[in-house]
Amino acid sequence: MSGTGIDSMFFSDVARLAEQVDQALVTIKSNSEDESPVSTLADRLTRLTQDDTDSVALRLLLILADRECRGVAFWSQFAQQLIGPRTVETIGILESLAQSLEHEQAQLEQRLRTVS
Amino acid sequence: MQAYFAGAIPQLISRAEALELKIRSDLPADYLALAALSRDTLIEIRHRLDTLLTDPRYTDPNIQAERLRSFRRCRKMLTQMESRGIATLDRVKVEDRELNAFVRRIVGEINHPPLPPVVSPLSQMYFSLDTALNILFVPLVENRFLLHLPDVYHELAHQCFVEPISPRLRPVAQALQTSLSAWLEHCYDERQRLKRSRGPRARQTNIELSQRCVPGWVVELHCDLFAVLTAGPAYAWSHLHLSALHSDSPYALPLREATTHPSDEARMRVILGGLRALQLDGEAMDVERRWEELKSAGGFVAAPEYPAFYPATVLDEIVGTAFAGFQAAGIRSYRDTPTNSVARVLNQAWMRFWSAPADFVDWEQRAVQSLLRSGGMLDDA
Repeated sequence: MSGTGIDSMFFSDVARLAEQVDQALVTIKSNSEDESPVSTLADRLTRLTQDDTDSVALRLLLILADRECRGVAFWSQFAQQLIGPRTVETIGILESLAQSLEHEQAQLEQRLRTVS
Repeated sequence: MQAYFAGAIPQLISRAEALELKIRSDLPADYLALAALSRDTLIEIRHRLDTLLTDPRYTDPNIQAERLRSFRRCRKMLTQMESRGIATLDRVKVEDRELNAFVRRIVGEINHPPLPPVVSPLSQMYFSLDTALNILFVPLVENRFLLHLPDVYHELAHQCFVEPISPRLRPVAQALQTSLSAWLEHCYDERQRLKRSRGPRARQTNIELSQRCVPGWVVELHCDLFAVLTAGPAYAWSHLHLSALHSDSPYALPLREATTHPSDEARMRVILGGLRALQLDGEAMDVERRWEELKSAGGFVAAPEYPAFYPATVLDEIVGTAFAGFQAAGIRSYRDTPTNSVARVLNQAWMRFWSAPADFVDWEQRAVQSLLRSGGMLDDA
């Protein structure tokens, strides 16, 4: 009942990660020469999946965002795929992640509106 | 969609500008950090919107889904700014500033590293902390009552887990990580065990749902223990009071969607463990007796699957882990605060509530003036 601290924290973190995912998608789909948004996302996913990371909040976020319970190892491998040769499947996973994050953010927004 | 974006994006930019104009330059000093953060966020939103409008890549029909999602995110951020940040800055009253001073006093007394939040009396329901904007929301007339104020300590604890973690709070974040790993490992083991034994599908679904809830629950339980450490038994009483007033059932379980807060029973188990860890066994017994009375009065009974969601061994381990983290970070226990500290006063209030409940309202009115206005002790009230 008390405290939307975690919701407001996730709300910002989800928004930030969702923006990075969409930036990566725009870069890939438009064949942009500057691939930095893709490597930024890969770095972010790698950091999230490292065991010794102190970015607790973001790690929690990944677990929450991963609605299919794929687990940390999956995202660690996916981060490598992103910067390597990409397939149609890579884009599909990114689009699915973008939709999950949007759904998560909508839920968080609803909770922030009703609980506070 | 091109025509829609051509009209809707400039309109949202105009809204962001209107909100920015609401930020006055003559705000009191305790609001300046929020004002700066709000302005920076609004500028960032405007920049993003401008990119969505002018970057030629966004005219590609294959990129409209990304454009729409990004546009909606800007709208969501703007709504948060309007309803929270700017709404707080737009009404600055004397009583708001008294609450700011009250929270600053608590932060100093417990040696809490983060910057004190701005307090806004715009909450529509209960206490909450917006960690992104560092605003503590409280109900409109909460400054006239004492019994819920121990929850301020719980809310302050949420600041400990905001990225980037400050160096002094690393042991707190590491303790959270330890509790989280232990609970997730428990979920994983349970899932594996059920798969091997071909256990009922419903139980497997429960464990999967529980796993999605665990990150939020662990944070809340650590915040509860922070409040026990810094506010003492008053926080346990406040939790009992909250549950009596607001909770449908102390044994509530998530149904289909993940919840951010664990059940009140799980929270109370951890809170009582915290009191015992502080060697407040007598106080823990008193709280536990009243808690059992409350559950009995409401006729609340745990569902058979309850223990699978809240494994007792995991909950009990969290107590020691969280306390070790807070103590390593130098967070001050309420027992080490002066006799006129806010935490001592709030404990005094709860003792008074139980010893003379019928007289409490009159006493509280005098006491709250003394606490919030002058910072004095309740004995003077």
